[in-house]
Amino acid sequence: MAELCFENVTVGYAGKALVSNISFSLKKGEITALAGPNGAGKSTILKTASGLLKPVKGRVCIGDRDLNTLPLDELAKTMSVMLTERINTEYMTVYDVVRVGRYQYTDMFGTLKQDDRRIIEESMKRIGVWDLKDADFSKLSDGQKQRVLLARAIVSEPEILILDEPTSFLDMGYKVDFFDILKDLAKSRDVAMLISMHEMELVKKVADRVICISGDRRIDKIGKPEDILSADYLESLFSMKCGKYEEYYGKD
Amino acid sequence: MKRREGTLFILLLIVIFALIVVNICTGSVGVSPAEILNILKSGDNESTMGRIIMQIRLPRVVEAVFLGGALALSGYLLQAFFANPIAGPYILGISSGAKLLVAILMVFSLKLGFVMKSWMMIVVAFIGSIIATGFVLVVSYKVRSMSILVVCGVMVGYICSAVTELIVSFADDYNIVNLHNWSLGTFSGANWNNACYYIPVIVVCFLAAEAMSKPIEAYLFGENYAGTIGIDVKKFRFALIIVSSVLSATVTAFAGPISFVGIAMPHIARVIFKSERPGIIIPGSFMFGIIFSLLSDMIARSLFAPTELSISTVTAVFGAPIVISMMIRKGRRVNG
Repeated sequence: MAELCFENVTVGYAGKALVSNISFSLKKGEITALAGPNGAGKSTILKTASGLLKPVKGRVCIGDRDLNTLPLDELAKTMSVMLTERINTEYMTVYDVVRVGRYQYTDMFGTLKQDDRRIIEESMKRIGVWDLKDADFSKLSDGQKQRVLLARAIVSEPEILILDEPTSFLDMGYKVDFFDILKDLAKSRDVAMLISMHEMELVKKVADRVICISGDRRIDKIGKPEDILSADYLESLFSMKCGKYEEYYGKD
Repeated sequence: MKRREGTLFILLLIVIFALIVVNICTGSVGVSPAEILNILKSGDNESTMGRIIMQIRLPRVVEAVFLGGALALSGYLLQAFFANPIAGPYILGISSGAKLLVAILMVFSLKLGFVMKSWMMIVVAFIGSIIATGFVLVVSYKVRSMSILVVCGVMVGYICSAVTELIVSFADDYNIVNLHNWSLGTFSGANWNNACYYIPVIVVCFLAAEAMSKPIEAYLFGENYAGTIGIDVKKFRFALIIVSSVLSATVTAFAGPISFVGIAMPHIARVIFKSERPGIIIPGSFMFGIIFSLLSDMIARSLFAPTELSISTVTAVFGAPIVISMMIRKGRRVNG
């Protein structure tokens, strides 16, 4: 039932439009890549898709309901989001980090019930981080950390998973591993995924569909990677100059 | 709760109890624990000894217990709010904001001859701390640097203290001595009447903080992450800052600004408990705050007896090194 769709959406910060006229919908079991050069507005679109930003114009909906009027906890049960924020923990084990992903389902004190523990264990095993459960999160390698954060994102058993550049600072080997896990998850759990990435080689390998944003912040093409990602096209997509908008600082 | 954590809590309770006993026993007149027990049992309020215990030492210890714990908790909530361990009500100028307004109220009450009630002090201190917090918040939205934020907080503190000094030196009353002592931070002058006000306020704030421990934990992973798992971040941040301000305002109203408890004790709690779970660290910080303020008060009273030091003198000597070591550790983690 819960499909995420953008209906003529304009995204941006503080009422200022950044990318306009975005329309697409995610399909269950499919990985949709959001591809384009840095600064094109990928993160802004993802933040809008996850409800952190309100659209400047248009409507983002889940099923037939408006995402921005959906109760927060209901939204959090349908959708999981993995952002690029680096986290600084001091005394947290891997299990502590993953456990928080069950937030929406636990009581006021965050007590885990048997079901919660089972789901956490299953999810961690599936992603291959169960052996690390007692390790200090801050001491893990970047690749391990990303996998732990993915485990945290899937323990809420979401129907929609949104990931912002999940592999951008990983080595090639880790990238491939990571996306293998994602592909497997999408198929086996019928999850709809929206992933931003800027490495086109990976997009071709991983995505079922790709939404291309050009450097001048337009949705340029949407379709199957093998149909639209020709070498010529990629060159034109990335050659366009990005504007001066700083996505990290917002308004300036 | 793990076994280790349970044991630690029990140990902390024992230490707190021992410190309370020592604090009541020591002073210009020594009292044995057995005598205290007798006085408590008989409710002796008449004899000299009974008055010393019931009217001076006991209220003072109770004040140190509650206000010390409240300060540490206030610091912990601020640290969660700013996602940075180098935050506390004193260093961010919040205590000084409260101090300034309470000083104004005190001088006015002396000049105009009305009796200052405890609740008035809390309200005024709260307004002061909210103004100072508001300023810090504005700065924190403009610049995303914690060090600049801390420097701004220290500057606000200086400005408020300077104005307070000014007001104090214009107040021409014999009460000026009290006012001056209070403006440096002290637990002397504690009484039961004040306790009737600060105890309920602090208990309510403590429970509120405990009730927020789940969102606080999620918030440790960042504002955006908290927003995606069903937390209304705006409301949550508002609640956090209000509870923290009420706590530091209450402390300042009765004991003046006290440094370093709020910033250092949550850190000690994290290190000793080796945990970041708010469910553990909230009571943990509170208890370390109690221990620290009881110890500091004991030293402040007895080091140069009968002259009393201001409590901040003592807390700074022990607290500042803790904060420095904390910053070095943090710097090392970032670079290494």
